[in-house]
Amino acid sequence: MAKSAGALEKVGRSAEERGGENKGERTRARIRSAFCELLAHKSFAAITISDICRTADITVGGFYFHFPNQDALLDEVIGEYGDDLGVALDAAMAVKGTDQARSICAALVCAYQDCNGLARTFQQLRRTRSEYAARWRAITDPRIVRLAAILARERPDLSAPKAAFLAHALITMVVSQLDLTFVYDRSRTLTTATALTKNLTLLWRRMAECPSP
Amino acid sequence: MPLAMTTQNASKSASKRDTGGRRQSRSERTRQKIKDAAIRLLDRQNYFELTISEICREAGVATGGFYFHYEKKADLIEELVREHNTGFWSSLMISLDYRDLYSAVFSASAALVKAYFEAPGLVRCFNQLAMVDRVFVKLWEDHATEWASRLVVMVDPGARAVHESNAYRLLAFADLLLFDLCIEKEPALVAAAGSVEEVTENLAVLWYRALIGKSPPPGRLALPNRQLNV
Repeated sequence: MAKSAGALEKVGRSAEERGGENKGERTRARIRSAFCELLAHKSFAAITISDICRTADITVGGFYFHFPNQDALLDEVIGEYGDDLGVALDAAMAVKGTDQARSICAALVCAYQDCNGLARTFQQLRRTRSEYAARWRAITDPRIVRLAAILARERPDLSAPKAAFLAHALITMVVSQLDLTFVYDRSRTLTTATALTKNLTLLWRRMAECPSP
Repeated sequence: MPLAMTTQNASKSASKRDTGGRRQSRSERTRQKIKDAAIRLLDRQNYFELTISEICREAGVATGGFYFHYEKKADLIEELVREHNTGFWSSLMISLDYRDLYSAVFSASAALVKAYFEAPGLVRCFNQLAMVDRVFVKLWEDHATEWASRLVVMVDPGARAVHESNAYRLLAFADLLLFDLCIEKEPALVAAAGSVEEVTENLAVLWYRALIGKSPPPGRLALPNRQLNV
């Protein structure tokens, strides 16, 4: 089954390269978007293959033609979400000067807000399954290293480990606040993207740039 | 587990209890053995993967002994998590006895660091449960709300910039950072964080700064390396 799904993926890709679109490819896309739609309201553990098939309006056989199991589908959508998040963070970190903090905060807010179900699922998975914890690290670690280098350049008084600690703390701060809003769904937290970004940027700047009294 | 077994054990124990206090304390010891075993296992194992037979093997208790005390794994874990939580939240509330913000935040940081370093398995378990069960989120929310509202009241009028929502939110920040450090043991963070004392102080400094937008007075910092203070 896994083999045929792999083969199909290749067929699908080459169809895409030609600019065409075949039925198999459309079905695969439908499965993925149905799954994401379900994730927006439900925990991944509570979603069944028949839920996905019902939402995507396909047969169970159709599902198994494209994915060997539900974990493979989860793996694929989270993988793509993670890649996108990495790209967005890199772009935000390329911003120079005082706007950098806001760009990074905004990129993370956007990653959570636009893909609410996926963001929540990734955070749940990284706490419950070690392979997803490793994946999360693979996305955040290189960016934290890069941020630490930027902080060390701006703040020559910081030792290398302290710059690394601060970089880690800043990213964690943003993620923790977004978890409050999107993962735990706490009613008292800020909801609009603008308000969230503004408050996160404020906290970031206070943590990173506080002068001595 | 069949209900019959529980009932049978219950009646057996009732008759034992009639014979004197000694039997009852043995039953309490068994319960404690089960709890200790589960805590040890949780330090190295995921809650979702932990089985009752593993707990019994680690505790040296028969499976029947487990079911005498608990109906299911979740009941045992809930008891453990609630007990640990009670201890943690009361030590966090003690931080509010301090009259100045930095001492309060430092004391809160120490309480959090202690909870994570002493029982990482239970804390991870709590975090995992909070991901799937609102009951645990509620437990956290209620205490955090109380702590935040009291912290804000305590702050002197000169530091009005503190507001409750940030006090509440920053508790979640400290929590996640310690999760990555003590439970995920992210190698880069572990390497950068340093000793327990450094973690406690640096966390308190960041927390304090984010709250009021000022660094704590340098004289308040205990460690010679005040790297995070400009």
